[in-house]
Amino acid sequence: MRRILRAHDALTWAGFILGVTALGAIVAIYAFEVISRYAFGAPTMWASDFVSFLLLISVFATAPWLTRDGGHVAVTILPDLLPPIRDAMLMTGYLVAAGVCLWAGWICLGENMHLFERGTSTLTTIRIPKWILSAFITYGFVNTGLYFIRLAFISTSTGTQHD
Amino acid sequence: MIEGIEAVLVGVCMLLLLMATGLPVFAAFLLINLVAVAVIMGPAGYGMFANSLYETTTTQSLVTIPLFILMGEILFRSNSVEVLFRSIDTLVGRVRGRQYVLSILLATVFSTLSGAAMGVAAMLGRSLLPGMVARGYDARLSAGTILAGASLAPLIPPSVLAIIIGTLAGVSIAGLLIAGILPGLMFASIFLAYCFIRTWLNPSLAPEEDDTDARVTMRQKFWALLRVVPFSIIILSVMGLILMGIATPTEAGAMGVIGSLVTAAIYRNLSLRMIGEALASSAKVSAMILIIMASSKLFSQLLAFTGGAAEMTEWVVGLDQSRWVMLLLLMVLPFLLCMFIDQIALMLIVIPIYLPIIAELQFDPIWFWLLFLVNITVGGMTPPFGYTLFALKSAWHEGSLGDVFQAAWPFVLLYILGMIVLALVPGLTTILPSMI
Repeated sequence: MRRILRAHDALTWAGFILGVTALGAIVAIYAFEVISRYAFGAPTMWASDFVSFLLLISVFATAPWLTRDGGHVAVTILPDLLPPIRDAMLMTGYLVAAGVCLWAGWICLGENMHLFERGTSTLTTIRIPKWILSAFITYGFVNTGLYFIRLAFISTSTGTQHD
Repeated sequence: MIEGIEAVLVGVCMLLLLMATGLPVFAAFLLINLVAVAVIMGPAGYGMFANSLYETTTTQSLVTIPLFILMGEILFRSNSVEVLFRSIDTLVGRVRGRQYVLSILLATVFSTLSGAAMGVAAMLGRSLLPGMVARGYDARLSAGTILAGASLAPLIPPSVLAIIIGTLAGVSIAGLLIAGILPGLMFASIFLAYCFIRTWLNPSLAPEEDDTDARVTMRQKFWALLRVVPFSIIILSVMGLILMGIATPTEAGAMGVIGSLVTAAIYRNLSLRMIGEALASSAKVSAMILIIMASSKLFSQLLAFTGGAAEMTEWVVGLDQSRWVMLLLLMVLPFLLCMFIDQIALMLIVIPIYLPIIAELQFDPIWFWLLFLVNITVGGMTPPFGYTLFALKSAWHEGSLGDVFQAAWPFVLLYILGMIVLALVPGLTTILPSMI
């Protein structure tokens, strides 16, 4: 079981690194675009499209690692007011969050297949198959759901940033 | 099927209840939206749900959020702000209650470099507050100046909250960012005046002997001034480019990141490790914000679909109250809610409901949404659940939460006073945006 969890962590870490790299690429592309446009009067055709794609990749590739680190915002007013059932409430919350993320992931997977079958492209200047991007949304939700399940059974105090 | 105002009330109440149980904010939005789509449209609506996620996370204007966060991360992680800290300390000179002045000025300047009140409060709480208390300054007034000053961060560009409001409300993001400059400076002036009056009325609030520490030569002041020059690169990159209409807020954000890297290099604090850490932290914070926004996007569409937003507008406008009463009502609700729920979540719930009402009441969008921004910012420092309060408390181990709460109240009242001024003098918010 530990080996599976370690492999899961390794996959998520790779996703996180991809998300971080995407953010770095956004900075590099926009800096290039600004210099190219204002210093050389030669704006690119692709910069804004790629930056949008990279934002989506950065968000959904990072989200599972964020969940693992307990980085999601939660308002824990009721659990804090009811200490005897606090842990049970938080655990239930993680399981509900897991369920809803997996549900969202399932819907997005269906949408991915639909986009793939239809060969739908993005409505941008530089067109790429849309399923490539929407696959990151599916990955983000499914993997986040799996981490919520892990959080529910491993810890009930570190899964979210509490207000 | 429930429709109209009932649908809005049920949706909002369910959402607040789910959030209060400790369910992550984005999951609460997802759950409500998925259940609503399943009930109202059935599986046919799932495509709309998937599309709302895609649309939000590929929105051009939202790229500014990670860029502004990264800019602040680089400056804080490279310790470049330490230089700023020491220079402003030197420049403040000899005034009664100089640490209060220093605290407010530092917070204001840091606000031009970071859009997060919590970050500024935690940093000044760790670095400045212990020294102020040790020198005999009143602990509560000291903590209050930090809370109030830090709360200027979402108001003065770069502001993440302004970008979110601008995107959701369809208002010029550049305009909204620039609109915060004069009010931000006005609030800083109000806080300074308040500290001077308090120390004048009660000299024991600021020790006299502290003045002796502040004797600096003109040469030292000159060097202090020279040391802060690199920061002007960043301020020029962000505010200057937007104000001059040269770059969009997103491009300005990217140039701000480059400016912060240059600044870190000038102070010889640039390293690959620091850049990697700043990128990793920014990616996580941005993902946290944007996944909430993506998960909530469908909520506003459902409000329109059920006819709730339209009926709500009709009902509010039908109250037939004066513009000022309407403004007060529209401001009181987020102020109260912000004490209990996350600022971003609150905006995502309230803005789609307010949008048609604002249009019907013909309020100037920049003026109204800036007041709204100040309002929810103050909510973040209002006891008992404001975010910024906890950020300061976590950095200030000697003070109790009660001390932090008491420190906040006078400045909350000053913010409300400032909001009244902004409401009565719209020019303070609209003059700069009208120039771009």
